[in-house]
Amino acid sequence: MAQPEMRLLDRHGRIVSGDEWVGLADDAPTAGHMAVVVSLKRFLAERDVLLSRDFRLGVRLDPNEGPEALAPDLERISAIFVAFPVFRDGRGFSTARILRSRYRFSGEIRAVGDIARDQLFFLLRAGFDAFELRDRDHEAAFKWAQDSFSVVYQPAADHAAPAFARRAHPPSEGQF
Amino acid sequence: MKIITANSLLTGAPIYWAGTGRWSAELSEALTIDPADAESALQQASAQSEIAVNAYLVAVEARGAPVKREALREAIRAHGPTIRPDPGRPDPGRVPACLPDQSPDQSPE
Amino acid sequence: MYRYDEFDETLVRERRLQFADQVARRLSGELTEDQFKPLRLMNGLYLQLHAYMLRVAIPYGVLNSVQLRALAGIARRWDKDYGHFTTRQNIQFNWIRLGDVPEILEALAGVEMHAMQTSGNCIRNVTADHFAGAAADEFLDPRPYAELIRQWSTLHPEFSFLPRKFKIAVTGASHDRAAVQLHDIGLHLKPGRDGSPVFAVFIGGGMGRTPFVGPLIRDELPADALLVYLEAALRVYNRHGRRDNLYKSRIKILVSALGADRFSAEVEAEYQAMRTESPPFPPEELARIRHYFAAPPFETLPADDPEFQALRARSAAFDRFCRTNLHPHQQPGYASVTIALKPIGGVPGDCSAAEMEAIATLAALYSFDEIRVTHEQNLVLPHVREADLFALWEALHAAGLATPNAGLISDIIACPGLDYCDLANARSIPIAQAIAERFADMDAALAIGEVKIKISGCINACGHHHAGHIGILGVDKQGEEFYQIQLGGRADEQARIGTITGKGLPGPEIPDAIERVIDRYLALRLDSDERFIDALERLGRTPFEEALHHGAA
Repeated sequence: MAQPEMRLLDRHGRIVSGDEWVGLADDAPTAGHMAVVVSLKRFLAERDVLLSRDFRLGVRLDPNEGPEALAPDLERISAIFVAFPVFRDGRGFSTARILRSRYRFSGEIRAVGDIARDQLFFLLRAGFDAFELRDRDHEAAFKWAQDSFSVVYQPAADHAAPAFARRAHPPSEGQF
Repeated sequence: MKIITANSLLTGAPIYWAGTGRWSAELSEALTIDPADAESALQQASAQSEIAVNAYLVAVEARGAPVKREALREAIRAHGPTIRPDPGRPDPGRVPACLPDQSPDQSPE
Repeated sequence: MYRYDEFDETLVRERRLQFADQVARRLSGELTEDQFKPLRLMNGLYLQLHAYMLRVAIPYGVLNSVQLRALAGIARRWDKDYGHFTTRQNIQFNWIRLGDVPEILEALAGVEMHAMQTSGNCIRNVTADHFAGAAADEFLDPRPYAELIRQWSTLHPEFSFLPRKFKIAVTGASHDRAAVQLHDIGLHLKPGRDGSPVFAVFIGGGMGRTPFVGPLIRDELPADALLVYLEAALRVYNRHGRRDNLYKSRIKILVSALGADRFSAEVEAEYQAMRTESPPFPPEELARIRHYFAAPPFETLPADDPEFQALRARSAAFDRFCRTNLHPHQQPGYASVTIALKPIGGVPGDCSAAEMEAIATLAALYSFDEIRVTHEQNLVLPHVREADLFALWEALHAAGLATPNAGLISDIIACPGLDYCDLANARSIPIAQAIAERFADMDAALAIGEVKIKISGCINACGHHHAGHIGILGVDKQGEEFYQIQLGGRADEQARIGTITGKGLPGPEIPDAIERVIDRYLALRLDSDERFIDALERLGRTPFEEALHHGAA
């Protein structure tokens, strides 16, 4: 469902070709798709039906929508699409962190919207693992974001060992 | 009448549109533009984004001095802070001070 | 003080390289100004009226002499030989060229400094009591916690795109010198019931367009739970703070809209959930940090150095300085010395390169190499032996840095105002200069006693006018500068927002108006121990407001 001018990248910065996900309007039929993304509103209205079908289900969360309403069903949801309608709106970072650390969500968390290289470092740390990037030179952009910092101070969803863990012990598995 | 001013990308210093693709560091060299042509001139000036940042129009009187609301701000931009001798801008006395004993009318220089 | 290890050093170096790359992309035309602006702001680089302004972070206001010398060097090489210390304990350079910034950042990194997060909608440089680790009234040194906050908030994975900027202040003393109740989060470190350290957490204070004193949101937070609690509070703000209106996006608006009780309950729920989710912050890290803030090797000295007392008795000028510019130290035989950057007729907070170098030398000689920056735009030598005070004072005097007005009416806070700032509506500095000149007689000023005048050139309140005993706000009325006066604000543990009085006055009338208020105070005070703010609170503002607006002949 990536827009034509966007490129979909995975957590390693590789281009994902043939995105299987199809974004559905709230009134569009679900038949004939392998993987569909619906709004939170539609999910809540049609939950039982959507969860019983044999397609893979994704839910799109807008910035004002937290993941709490999905909590009971997260095991049956394959992907969460977190929307960033504008660059400066950082609510989606909290959404991803709550999904990973509170609900231990292990499916895909995809950042969609106004995503540029300057957010990537933070998105990766917050638990996103798919990105619809607007930078034209997306691979360089991804590498730039990934290589910028070799030191972090906080434990986060990317499991990078924070400085305090590396100080206390030699860098090992770093389970923080 | 209007003039166009901006900040230099490299130095951040105030600069003034002198017409025909030229920016000047001197307010006195600013090109006065008829209000009817102002918007298109501003577009032309703004296109030079490798030289000028945040270009905008300033209303001026016929002799080219900014008027009204912008007058003080533009005077400070043009002549530097009013509060300390500034080696880079030798003429702070031209700025209207807000206190009587600092006003240019009464100061000997 | 804290010293970088390889990790801190690497991060600052990597951030510098990243920003150098961003500057190069801008200069090559690869980035437009619209794309570059948020990136430069994240690194403290503003475009002001005359030039770029670079705001350098001074974490919790602590410097050593090498760092202060490096700041002087930057002023000499890349600016016009001076810098400006701000109400956030930072320093700003006013005359910076864009292409020089990478080199300046390199010079800063060489002395463990940077400009990260001194602007932008992120957690800003944490501030603290400028007498931390020195003040006699301190329960516990807040600096280890401030350093912990510095690290935690640097490039935070969740809180780097907040609705608006976010300021945290911390104190560990009974008298609040860090204005904690006027910050987004204010932390007061104090003994808990069993004597172990706890925080009183104030959230939602602030000045600006809509000033609030922050309500107490959590009392007795165990100190070792600080980061989890901060994380919870920031998450509630990041998710629920308003993003539709720039003027309503600070956390104070959220706290006020929800009410302190509901906000507190939301944070508490998030905090309780988070505690079970992530491993606790290892106490060894706090211990490691605390190690850096161990007291310097103080000598065991008598409380009142007899030689010091004798010198005070001999030199009236030295005694005069000691009365205002010393602060009681927790170690007997030592004092903290305020170097007021408020010479009469000077620019509040401005410091020349030569002055910085002189102060650096004196800090190395007399204060275990330490300097502090205060939110009142002064510098402090925190640990000076009483026996050295006279020599220090003589040296300060020779350098023109011994103005004996700390805490007095001419010790004025002023933002840069329209002389420098792109946001300002009116000038602040000339007003501060005119008031200081009116009260230039130091004996008269001492007789008046403590008066805090704070001046801002626009509603953003960088000059803390809401918290001034006398607050002055510059406004623009059809191209003319007017100044609105507020009375009764205070930034200490009894924080209060000042009340606006009458109509704004033109600049030239301000010194007379202030003098009338002070004359009224001198006429009405019970005795010389009753400070201006005490008299104002006892009598109400009416008599002072009358003097302000109707006292003119």
